[in-house]
Amino acid sequence: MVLNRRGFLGAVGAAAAAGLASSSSGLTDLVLADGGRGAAGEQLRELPFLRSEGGLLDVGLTIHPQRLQIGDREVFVHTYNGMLPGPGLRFRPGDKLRINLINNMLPLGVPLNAPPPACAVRPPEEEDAPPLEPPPHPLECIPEMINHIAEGETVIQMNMTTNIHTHGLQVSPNDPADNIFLKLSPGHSHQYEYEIPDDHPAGLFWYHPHHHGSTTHQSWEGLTAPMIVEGDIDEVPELADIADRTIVLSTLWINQDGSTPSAVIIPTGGQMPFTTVPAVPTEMLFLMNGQLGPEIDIRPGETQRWRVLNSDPHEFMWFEVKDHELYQIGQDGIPFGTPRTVRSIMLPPANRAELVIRGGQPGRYRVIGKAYDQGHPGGARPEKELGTLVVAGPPANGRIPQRLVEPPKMPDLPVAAHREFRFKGDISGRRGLGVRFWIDGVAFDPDRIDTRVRAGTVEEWTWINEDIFQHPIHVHVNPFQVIDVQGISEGDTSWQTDPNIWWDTFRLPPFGRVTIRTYFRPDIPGRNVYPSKTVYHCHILHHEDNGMMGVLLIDPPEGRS
Amino acid sequence: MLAGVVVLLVGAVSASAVPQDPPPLPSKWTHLFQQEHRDALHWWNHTWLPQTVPSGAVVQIQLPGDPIRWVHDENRKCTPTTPLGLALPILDLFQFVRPEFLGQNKLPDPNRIDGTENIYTFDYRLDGIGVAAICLFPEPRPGTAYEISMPPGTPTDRYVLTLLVGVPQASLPLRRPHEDMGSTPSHDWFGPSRH
Ligand SMILES: [Cu+2]
Repeated sequence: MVLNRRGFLGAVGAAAAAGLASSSSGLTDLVLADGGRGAAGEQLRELPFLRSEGGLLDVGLTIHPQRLQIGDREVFVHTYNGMLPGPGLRFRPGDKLRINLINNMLPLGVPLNAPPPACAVRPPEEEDAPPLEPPPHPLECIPEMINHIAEGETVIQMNMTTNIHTHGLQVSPNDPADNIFLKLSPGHSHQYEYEIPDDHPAGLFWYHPHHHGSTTHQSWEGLTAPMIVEGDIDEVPELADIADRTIVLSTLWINQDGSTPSAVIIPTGGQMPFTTVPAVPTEMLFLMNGQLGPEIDIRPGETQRWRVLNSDPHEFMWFEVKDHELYQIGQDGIPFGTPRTVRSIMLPPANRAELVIRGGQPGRYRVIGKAYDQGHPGGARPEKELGTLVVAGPPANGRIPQRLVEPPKMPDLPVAAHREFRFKGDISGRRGLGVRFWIDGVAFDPDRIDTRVRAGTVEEWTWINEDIFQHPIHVHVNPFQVIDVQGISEGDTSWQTDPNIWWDTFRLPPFGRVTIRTYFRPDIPGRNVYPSKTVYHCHILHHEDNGMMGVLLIDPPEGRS
Repeated sequence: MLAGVVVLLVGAVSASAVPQDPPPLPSKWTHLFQQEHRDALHWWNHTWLPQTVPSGAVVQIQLPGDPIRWVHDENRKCTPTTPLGLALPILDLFQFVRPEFLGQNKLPDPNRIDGTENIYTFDYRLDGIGVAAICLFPEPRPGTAYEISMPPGTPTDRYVLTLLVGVPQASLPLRRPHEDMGSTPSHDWFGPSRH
C-alpha cells in the first residue's frame, strides 16, 4: 500500500536536519529495506525524499558502485547514495539547495573482448569536413592517444567523470549552481549551491549527470533522481489530500555481469537498440522507481496524483494505463490552468507529466509504454511493459479538479530576435568509429559561444530537423512555449501542441520544424549570475554525447553589467 | 599493440583449459554487430584486432541494405582478416570454427542511413575454440563502399567479421568487490578537474 507520506517525509527531513550532508547511510538503509529486492509483482516503491527545513536543503550525494537486486537480476552499477533512483529532493520557492557531490566511481563494465579502440578515428566535428584522408602510420596516433589519456578523454575515463544538472530548475547556470561545464573526476567532490526563485513554478524536476561524453552511460546506470518544488498547485482542494506518487521511469542497460558496458556505443535495430565496440551481450531493463513490473494500488473511484518522469536517455515512453483516462495537470514542472483529459501521454527523454488518475472498475490494468517509431534504426521501438494498476478495495469518490492555478505568463515584449538552428546526424560509420550529431553543422565545443542573448528579452527560435530521428531539444534554465510545429506524420496521435503549455524539452518531428518562444528571465537569484553560460541540446543523450549540443551565453539585462 | 594480440591469442589458447562452455545463451544475450564492426575498416589506422566471443555465442550481424542486397553464401570462400595489417597470417595458426547459420531477417530502416532502406539481419552460432570468419556478400557488387555504408577504401565484394571463439565473456572488474565501495580511488589519471 501507499506509505504514510507525511510520516515518511518527516523522518527523512529530520535526518537531513541532523546533518545528512556528508553521509547517506541512513537513506540507503531506508531504501534497501523498502522493497529493494523481490520479484516482479511487488508494489510500486514510495520514493524517499529529503525535504528542506527552514528554507534550506543541504544534502550529500556520493556516486559509488552498488550491488542491487532488481527482480531476479543482480546488477552492479553506479548509484547516488546506493539508491536507484537517487534520493528525491523536495523544497519550496525561495529556498536554498546545497548539494555536496562526491565522485567515487570505478571502472565498471569494461569489456575484455578486445583492447579499447584507442587509435580509431572518430567522425568529424564538422559536417562538411573533407573525406577521410588515407590512414597515417599507426605510430602517429600514439601522441594523440597519450594526450587523450592525460585529458581524461578516453571512453573509460569519461564514463567515470561526472557533474550534476538540475533539469528544468530556473536557477543560475554558473558555478556554484547548475554549471554543466564542470568536470568532476573520480576521487573529487564539488559543493553546489542553488537559489530557487521566489516565484518558481511548483512541480516535478530532476537531477542527473551532465558531463559531455558520458551522460548516456551514466543514465543507463540509473543515475537519476526526482526533485519536487512545492507550491500553489499543492493547495488545490482536489489534490491536497490524495496520494502523491512520484514515478521515475528509467532504463538499465547491463551486460551479463549486471554492469553497464563502458565502450563506444553504436545504434542497432530490433529489440536491442544499441551495441558496443567491441560487441558484448546485453539486456535492457525498463524500470518504474527502480523496479521491474511493479503493481500500483488504487481503489475504485479513488484519485491519485502521479508525477511521471522519463529519465531514459533514448527511448520515448508513450505512457498509457489501459482503460483509464489521464487528467494531465502539468508539464515539465509547470502547472496548467485547467486539467487536460488524455488517453496517453508521450514522454520523450527528460519530459515530465503530472496527472490525476481515477481508479476504474476493480481489476488489473497494464501500464505500458506504447510502441512508437521515434526514428531509431529498424523502425518502431516495441511496446514496453512497465507495471500493473491494481484496482481493488472499497469504492471511493475522488474528484478531478476543474481549476488549477494561474500558469506563468510569457511577458508581453517585442520579439528581440528570431534564430534558426539545424539538427542533423550521421550514424553510418562511413567517416569514423561511432556516430556524430551536429547543430548548424558543428559538434559541441565548450569553449565556443554558439548563441548569445540578453536577459530580460523574448526570442523566437526555429529548430529545423534534417533527420528522421525525433530529436527532443532541451534548453537549460529557461522554459519555453511552442508556437508552431510542422511535419507531424499523418495519423501520429502522440503530439501535444497547445501553445499555452510550457516545456523545457520538446521533440522535433521527422524532417519537421518547431518554433519556440522563450524569455530569458533577468531576475535569477544567486552568486555569479551574469553572464550566464549554459547549453541547449538533444536529450537523446547518445546524440548529445556525440555532438548535438550548443553553448548559450546570456548577457546581463540592459543597463546592468 | 602487438602485445594485445599476444594476450588475446594466449587467452584464446588458454580458454581450452576452461572445463565446460556455458549452456546456450538466450537470444537476448546476443553479440550484436553492425557495419562498423567490419574487420579492419579504414578508420582503425591499421590498429584493428579481432574481438573474442565465448563458445556457444549467438551472433547477429545487422547491415544496411537495399537497393544493394546482402547474401549469406556458404559456398563462397571466407577467410579471417589478419590483424594490424600484418603480412604474417598469424590467425592461420589456429583451428577454424565454422559458424552455424541460424537464419536471417529484415528490418525497415528508411531515411536512417543515406542510400539504404532496410537493415538485413543474419544470425549465427559459434561453437568451439579457434578463429571464425563470417562473410556476407553484397549483390549486386556496389561501385563504391558508400553504397554499403562503409568508409572509402573498404573492399566492396564482402562484409567480413573475424572473431576469436572460445574465450569466456568477461568485463572489468573481474573480481567483484564487496558492497562497501565507498573508498576513494587513489589514482588521478582523469585529467584536470575543471571548475
Ligand atoms: Cu537527437
